[in-house]
Amino acid sequence: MRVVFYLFWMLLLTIFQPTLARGIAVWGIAPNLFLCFVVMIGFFRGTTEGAICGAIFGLAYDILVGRMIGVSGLIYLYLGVGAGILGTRFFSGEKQLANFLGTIVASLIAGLMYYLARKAVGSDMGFGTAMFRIGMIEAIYNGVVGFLLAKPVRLSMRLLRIKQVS
Amino acid sequence: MRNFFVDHKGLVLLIAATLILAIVIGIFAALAASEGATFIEQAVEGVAEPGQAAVQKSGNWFVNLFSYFGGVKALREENQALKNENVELDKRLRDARGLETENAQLREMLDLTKTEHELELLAASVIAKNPSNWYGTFTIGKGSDDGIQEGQAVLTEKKELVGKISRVGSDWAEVVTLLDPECGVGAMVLRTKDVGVAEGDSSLRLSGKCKLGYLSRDAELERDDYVETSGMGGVYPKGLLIGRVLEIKEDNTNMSKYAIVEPMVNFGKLQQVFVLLNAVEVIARSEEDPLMEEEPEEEDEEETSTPTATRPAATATARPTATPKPSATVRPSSTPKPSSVSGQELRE
Repeated sequence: MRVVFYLFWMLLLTIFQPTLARGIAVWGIAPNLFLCFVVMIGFFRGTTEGAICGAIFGLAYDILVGRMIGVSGLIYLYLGVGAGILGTRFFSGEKQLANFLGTIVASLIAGLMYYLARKAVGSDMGFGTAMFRIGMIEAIYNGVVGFLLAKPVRLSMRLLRIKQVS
Repeated sequence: MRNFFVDHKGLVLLIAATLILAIVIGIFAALAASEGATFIEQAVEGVAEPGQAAVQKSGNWFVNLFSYFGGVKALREENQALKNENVELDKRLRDARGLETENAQLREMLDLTKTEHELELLAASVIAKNPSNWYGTFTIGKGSDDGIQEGQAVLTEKKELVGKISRVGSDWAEVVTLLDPECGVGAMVLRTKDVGVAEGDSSLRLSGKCKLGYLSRDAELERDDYVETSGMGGVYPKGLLIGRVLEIKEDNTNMSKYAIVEPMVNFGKLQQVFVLLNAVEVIARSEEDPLMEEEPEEEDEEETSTPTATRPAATATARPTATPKPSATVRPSSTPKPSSVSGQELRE
């Protein structure tokens, strides 16, 4: 059932990220559905599954983007672990606010790491543009989308009888 | 005699009754001939009238009641039917508008393929945008099966440069747009023939602009000058419109200038593009193109300082080829248009 759950969401995100997500872009910034999902899985399913999900979904996102393949996979792996630690040790219950804030923080970290990786390969982008023009807006947008995405993710987990570990 | 009446009592009564009735008939016949109702009739009607009126009123009320409910039902049905019709008409109107736009676009595409015999163009639809906020690319629904290869130029039906093919699958291809820093195009300012490189800039990309770099310090370009491909580098043919100069700046080193260019293409609304499959050196513009309109030479100086909502013009007979400097016969003007008017609006 878990495989079905992840395949279902992989398919859904792969379809929606370059189409629907870009369609709802604000100031040219679209939410990152993959990152929202990884953070959510970390929170709901713990460190191990958060890490595996982060690596696989991050890699899929990289392949979809077509540049610097593996960078997002690595970043999301650690974000999955981090979300899992926060979810199992520090939060309990519904955790909607924690998920919202966690997604914002994770997005900022992901933005910073991606900026550094791009800088390492010679990108001309300035820190201000990367963090304030892209990173911050994306982080807030991800927080909102993550908050909204939590319901359908939970529902699909319930339907497929996948338990929340925390 | 008395015995007769007694003996024939029945006959006498019969005759008497007949006579009385005959008299009554006679009287009523005589009264019927005169106008107005008799006192008897009036008396009878007077007694019956209130009852009749009440019955009539109540009857009417019932009739009205039934017709009211019947009418409401009919009105409701009519209202629903009109609402359905309205929705249907609205849908048709929207469809028609969409088809109109698509039709105009496809007509232009058809015209382009008809007029440009030398160009091997492949029409493709944009099927997805780049999922990331860090790059300026999109995906089209045709790939190597249709003859697309990496590095081929991508343009619009109005011969405006979109970008080039960066990745190819069997039935999809990724187009890296002018806005992406990975896209560098040999460019030339249409009016002054100053050459440079139009390239994406990470900071400008998000505001939908690109950079025209490596311009000579002596470059005489001005705001609202039009920029097209120079044909240098071999990837892009000469003559594809890139955009309009918004701002001119000095480079950090003071060795060269660069300009901020607003591309002609609205990348956010792009739906159909052409992939140029064959190598062409120059793409000529049709004579109907406003850029090709002839313009008297003496107006040049005036128009340089007077912004108008028209594109710069150039003669059809003397299209600049690979020459970086203006020739005597080429007449590119510097008629700029107000910055608030986008290239898209201008074309329309």
